[in-house]
Amino acid sequence: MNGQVRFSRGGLVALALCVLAAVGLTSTRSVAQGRVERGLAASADATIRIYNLSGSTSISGWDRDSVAVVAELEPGAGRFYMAGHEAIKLGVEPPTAGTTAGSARLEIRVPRGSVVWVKAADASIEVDGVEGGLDLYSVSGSVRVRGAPATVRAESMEGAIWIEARTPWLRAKTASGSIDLAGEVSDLAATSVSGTIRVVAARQARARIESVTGEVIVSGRPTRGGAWEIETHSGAVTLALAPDTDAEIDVHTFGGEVRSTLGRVLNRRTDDLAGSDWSIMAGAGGTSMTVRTFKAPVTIRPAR
Amino acid sequence: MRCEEVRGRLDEWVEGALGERQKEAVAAHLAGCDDCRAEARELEALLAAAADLPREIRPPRELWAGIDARLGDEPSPMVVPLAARRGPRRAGLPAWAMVAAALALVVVTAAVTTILTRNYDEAVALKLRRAGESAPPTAARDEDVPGADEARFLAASQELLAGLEAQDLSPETMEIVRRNLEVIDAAIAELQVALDRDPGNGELTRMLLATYQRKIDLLEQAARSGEG
Amino acid sequence: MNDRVDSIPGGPDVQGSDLVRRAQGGDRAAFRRLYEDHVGRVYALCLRLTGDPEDAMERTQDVFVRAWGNLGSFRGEAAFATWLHRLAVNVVLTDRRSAGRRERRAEAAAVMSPRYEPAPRAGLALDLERAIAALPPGARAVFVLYDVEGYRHDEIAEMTGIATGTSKAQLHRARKLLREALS
Ligand SMILES: [Zn+2]
Repeated sequence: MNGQVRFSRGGLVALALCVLAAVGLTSTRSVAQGRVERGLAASADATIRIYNLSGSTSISGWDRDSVAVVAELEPGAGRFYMAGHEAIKLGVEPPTAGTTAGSARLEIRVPRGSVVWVKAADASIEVDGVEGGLDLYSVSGSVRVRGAPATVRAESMEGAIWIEARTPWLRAKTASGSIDLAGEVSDLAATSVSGTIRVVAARQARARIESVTGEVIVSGRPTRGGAWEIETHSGAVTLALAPDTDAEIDVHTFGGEVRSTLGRVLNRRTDDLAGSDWSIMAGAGGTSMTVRTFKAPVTIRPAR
Repeated sequence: MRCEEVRGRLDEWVEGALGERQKEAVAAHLAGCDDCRAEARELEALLAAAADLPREIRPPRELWAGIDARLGDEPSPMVVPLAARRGPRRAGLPAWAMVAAALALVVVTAAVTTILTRNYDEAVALKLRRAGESAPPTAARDEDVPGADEARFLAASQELLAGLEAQDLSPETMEIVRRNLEVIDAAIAELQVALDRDPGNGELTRMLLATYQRKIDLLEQAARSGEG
Repeated sequence: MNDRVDSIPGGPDVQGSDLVRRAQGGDRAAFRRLYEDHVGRVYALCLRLTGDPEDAMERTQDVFVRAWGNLGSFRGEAAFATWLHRLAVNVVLTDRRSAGRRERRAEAAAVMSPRYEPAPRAGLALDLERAIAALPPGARAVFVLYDVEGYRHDEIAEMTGIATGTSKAQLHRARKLLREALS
């Protein structure tokens, strides 16, 4: 079954038979390896679930109603599989469940409007040009997204998350990896425990950034009308904003030091027990930015 | 064109970035104005000198040793070449390592549970103390809400921990979870101390709950990573 | 030395990309070779952006440490030199530690000026380096990136988070101050 195989749309019975044949054929080989190329007809808004524990998975959207995969499997990586039409499952099935003795490199083309779900252990995940929803999970691999997906949920325990996208809804979560976000996101939330979070402010209507010890850096120019909430326990917060930013910035910290060289300080109150409260007006205001830390320093300055 | 206007355009003039008409106007002015012409020459000389500056300057001291000492074992895990990942990831771990990992998981879980339980007891004691000190039970309702939340968080974390224990997570994943739980627990402990000093502080209570939420998130994320 | 690096502004560099691949795989010796090839360029940039050799050396180290950590995100779309260069700009201009450090150094410099004594070279270049070091930080960054390094205003805006209009205004200011300092 090597080489490109295409199925006509609607030929579901034939499709199922072929898939069964394909699965049957590959599973008779004890160790599938080397290069595998596969194609499969898919609906334009297919839901595609991809499993690849180790190695890399790279997905890009195209303007065809089909899924095409080039898989490079190391010996011991397991068996490549793919089946379905509206709901497609594909990936590498390890020899023993949940473990793998080799990695796989998957390059996958999917219909642009697909909803894509990816699961990885230490494999990196990269998605470009998919316009349906994205759900991407890796344990220690990195996650990279570009394009204009309908929604993005990206999680990695330890890998770096990097997203540059135009999307109405984005959730990025990591324990100790870093998060880098840029693009036009209406509703954004980024959460980490100890990883650094960097966000380039632009047209966010709502943004919520939270960490425990991870540093938070917001740069760029938030568009007027947005509402930002940033909270850390001990991760330093830096707002390095365009000098002509229009924002009301409220800072509350129990034990951190606050420094601001942007806009005017309207109000500043410090109390041994209750901590410090600062109100800063940058430009004409119009964007609300709230920063809260337990003991982290907060720096507000014009971007240099 | 007046001198002021010309001076304002010289930046673009020397870069050839002006439109045809403006370019002609500036040229005409420069032909007849010594001061502005001198200014333009100076600017051109500056830009030529800037472009001629050496692109490389050797640092006065050797820097490599300091860099080398700070490098991790591997660059970021993003595109680790296939070859570097060869070999069994888990299946080939010796039995003792699996046992150690399992034990570590139990210890971590127990420690977390202890901390959670202690926090819970303290929170309850605190609430009782506060209720007794300051206000009749009806007026204390606002304070009940965070207390109730805290109990809910505790129940959720314990459930999740139990779930994690049952799951066969890789030692690498458990190690990540363990490290980050430590970070979160340290933060929770600090918030507890602060809250002890200032029990009525709503903002601190909120931060404490938000930090519990981080813990739940982490445990949920870990649990998801174990699902097929 | 100059020629070699300048001759590969954006194009592929077979030997270099092999080194990059090896470094991405964790080969420290390969990374050290990359360091040797690029340190002069990175240090020159850091020096001009900070106006302070000590600060610049620290920044240079930070850049290579960061580069090692981020090698995974280098995808080979641009030349490694270009990627590293942007990383350096980022490290120097957005690292929050720089601000405090720079202020402390400015205080020290006030006592023991001249603060930055470049290696002796031709007269005009020497004066120019000194004058650049004495510029206010915002104007200095834009001048170095635009007139020395050749970035465009939109690129500078993207890298530093300032508006392109601000970048142009800062450039105008820097050029004016430099001409005054050099005349
Ligand atoms: Zn004139």
